[in-house]
Amino acid sequence: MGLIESLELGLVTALTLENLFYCFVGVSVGMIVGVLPGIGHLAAISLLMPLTFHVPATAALVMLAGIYYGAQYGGSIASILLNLPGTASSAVICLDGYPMAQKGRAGSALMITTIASFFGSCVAIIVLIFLAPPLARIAMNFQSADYFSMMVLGLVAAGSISQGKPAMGLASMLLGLIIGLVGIDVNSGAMRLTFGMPELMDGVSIIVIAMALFGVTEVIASVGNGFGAGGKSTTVTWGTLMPTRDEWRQTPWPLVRGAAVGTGVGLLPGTGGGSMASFMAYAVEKRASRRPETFGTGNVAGITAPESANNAAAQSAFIPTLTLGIPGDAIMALMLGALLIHGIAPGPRVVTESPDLFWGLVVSFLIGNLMLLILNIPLIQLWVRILQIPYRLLFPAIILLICVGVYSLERSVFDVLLVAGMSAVGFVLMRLGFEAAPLLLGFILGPMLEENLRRSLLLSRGDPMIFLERPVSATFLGLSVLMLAWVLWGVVRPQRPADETTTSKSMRESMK
Amino acid sequence: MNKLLSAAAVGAACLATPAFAQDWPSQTVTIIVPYAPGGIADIAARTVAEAMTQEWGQEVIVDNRTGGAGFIAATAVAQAEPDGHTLFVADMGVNVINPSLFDEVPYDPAADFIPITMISDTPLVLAAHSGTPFETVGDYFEAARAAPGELSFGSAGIGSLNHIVPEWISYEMDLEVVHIPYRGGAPAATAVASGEVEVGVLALSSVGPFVDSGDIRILGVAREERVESNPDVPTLIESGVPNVAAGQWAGLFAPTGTPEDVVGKIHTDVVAFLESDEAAETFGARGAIVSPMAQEDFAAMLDTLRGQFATIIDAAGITAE
Repeated sequence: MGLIESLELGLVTALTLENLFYCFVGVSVGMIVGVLPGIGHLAAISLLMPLTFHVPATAALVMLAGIYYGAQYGGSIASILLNLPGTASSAVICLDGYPMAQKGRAGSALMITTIASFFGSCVAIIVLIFLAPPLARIAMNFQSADYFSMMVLGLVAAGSISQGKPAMGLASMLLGLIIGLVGIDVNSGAMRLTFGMPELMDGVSIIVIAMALFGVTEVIASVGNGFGAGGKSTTVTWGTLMPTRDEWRQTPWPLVRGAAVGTGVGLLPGTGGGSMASFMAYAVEKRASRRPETFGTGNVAGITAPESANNAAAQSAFIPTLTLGIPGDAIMALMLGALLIHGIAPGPRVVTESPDLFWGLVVSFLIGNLMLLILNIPLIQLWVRILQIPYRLLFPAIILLICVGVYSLERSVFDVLLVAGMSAVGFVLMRLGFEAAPLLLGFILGPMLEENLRRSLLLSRGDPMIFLERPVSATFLGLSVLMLAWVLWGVVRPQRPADETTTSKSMRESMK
Repeated sequence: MNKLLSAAAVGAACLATPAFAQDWPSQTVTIIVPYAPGGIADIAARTVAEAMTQEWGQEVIVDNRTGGAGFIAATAVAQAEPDGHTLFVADMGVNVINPSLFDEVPYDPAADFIPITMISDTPLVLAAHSGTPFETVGDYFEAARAAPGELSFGSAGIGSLNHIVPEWISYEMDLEVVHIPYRGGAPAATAVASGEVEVGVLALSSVGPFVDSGDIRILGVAREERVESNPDVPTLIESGVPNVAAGQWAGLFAPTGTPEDVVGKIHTDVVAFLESDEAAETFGARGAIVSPMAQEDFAAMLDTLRGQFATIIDAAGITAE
């Protein structure tokens, strides 16, 4: 099938009333959860996933994906107006967005971030359209050893560019790995950590983990914040939306650089999607700038590049997910979960065997982004007002939805209790500095890594050279070594203290 | 206190009232399925439920109780009130394989369930990657004999039907082929298609696209007789493999203790539906064959399979623990 016919098929699929509707619902929900600090898109996606079991796979994915990239748009609103990141990936927007708001340029900052979001997304979608099909064709011949090495690269990437303290990230990932072990081992048939409970034989559901760690735990952590996030009311008038000529002049290059960084980061499996991309883009921009000292005081480039980057990453993260079946981050892991629930085995064959799903989804990204552009600018007042919904109404509603959602999964009370237990443990762990995102990534990638490692060795009858004999595998292992070397070099090399502290401080804030 | 006692007595009397076919079903009938929606067992249950809702004038619903290799669903059925309002759609795994595979099984398929009828049968085929030189089942045996332990077969996991059937072939033909487990039937089919493993025993319905794309070649079907849709494919038995015939079937069961006349009525009604063109079409579209069966035949078949599988599972040293 040629590119034109493929896109045509995608257009026909995405423009059905049903898919348009789910796309709209997805991006709107995404905007809302993006705007609201304390409720992440992961929570929203895991909450809404059970609702999608009864709609066709394409509609389900269109909606869930819409929540994800929609949240990337909404996230910057709270960052700019309140200095509170709506999502982790928009934390860096606080650094220059809030100072702009203080100078009375909130409207223009919101306009610029919306445009940056749209631009970044479009660049990444175009890359997705051209890169995914050939990648899937090549991936058709990938074997267990290749998958193993790719996942090694993913884990190394996730570990070496991790946010916050690397040791805690690693510990969180290991914890996720242990939870991932629960159930019948694929390779030996052994029961691991099931404690004789048949309910645990198939392992712990990813939705249970996501609901506990991203839903309940987040709610508990935000309860202390009292009423709504927007304690004070902020108004943005139409007149202030238009950026000045000087502000316009500063946007093009950061837009392009941000999109490039974001697309690249999103492509790597295991790099955590949006938040990594926006921090990297900010760092790149600061280095590229002729006046780095103006960053943090309301520099336009400081919001343009990260915003462009996190949206680009949100879209390009679908490339490894859809073509290889390897999730780039926790969200992508949930998307794979949704595919599996609909009986579609993720992997290179999705592109050829379910072309309507693949291309429909891709075209829906374009449509969804257009919707967001339209939703964003005229409705800016509405989004600002959402910030004033009191948490005492919002949180009980979320908890109720979580209980119903988990129960509806397999009609199992056991799962609901599991969520309750994990939430309690999760809350304590998060207070101790463990992070939820690497935990979920470890939970997904760990068992996949083990499965492919042991399968490769079974196939080679125990000869580890299989990982070096296959060119694809050898290349990925080589890249992993290079990346480790780069990280070690970064540790050994004398650091610039000022640079490090601002970035890591804001990263820590974003994790709250 | 007296009131309580009399209430209890009335309650007990109600429970003790035997259900007779003429006043059955008096309430919603639940068919428990041990697997998630979408699989063939689930589709079989849903198709039957829909037809019987019309036939019986009572709602027949499907309850997916997944998990624990079917333990959860099977235990629920075994402990259900045996009045004909709880039925069970189950397969080889729950009824034949589990007792030989696990050290401890919380139910006894032979004692706890009454077989009513088989509903559908999805044929399994021995398939080879098209890059291998195997054109027939014989070619494969020759290659496997020439190089013991060199060839590999993929399966949907330890103890799955597509793990045990190839072991069965190896047992009958005295071959040594290495087992490579995958997470489910689709990845196993993909592994054969990509050539990561040379062969696999796969559901006929799942190899279709790979046969069309030229990645997989079908060598033989693990069935008593040839499949109507693929008349050119020989059975394994006619290719010289004794005994090996087992499909991925789904069957209807009731908990032991269900009144005989109720079971009889369910059997008659379900079999009548399965013999309709509508049923043949619904299952045909899924690559499955409707297989209504007399109760005695189904029970006898289960007995034979349990014996055969116990022997193979033991001989091949397959265990989940």
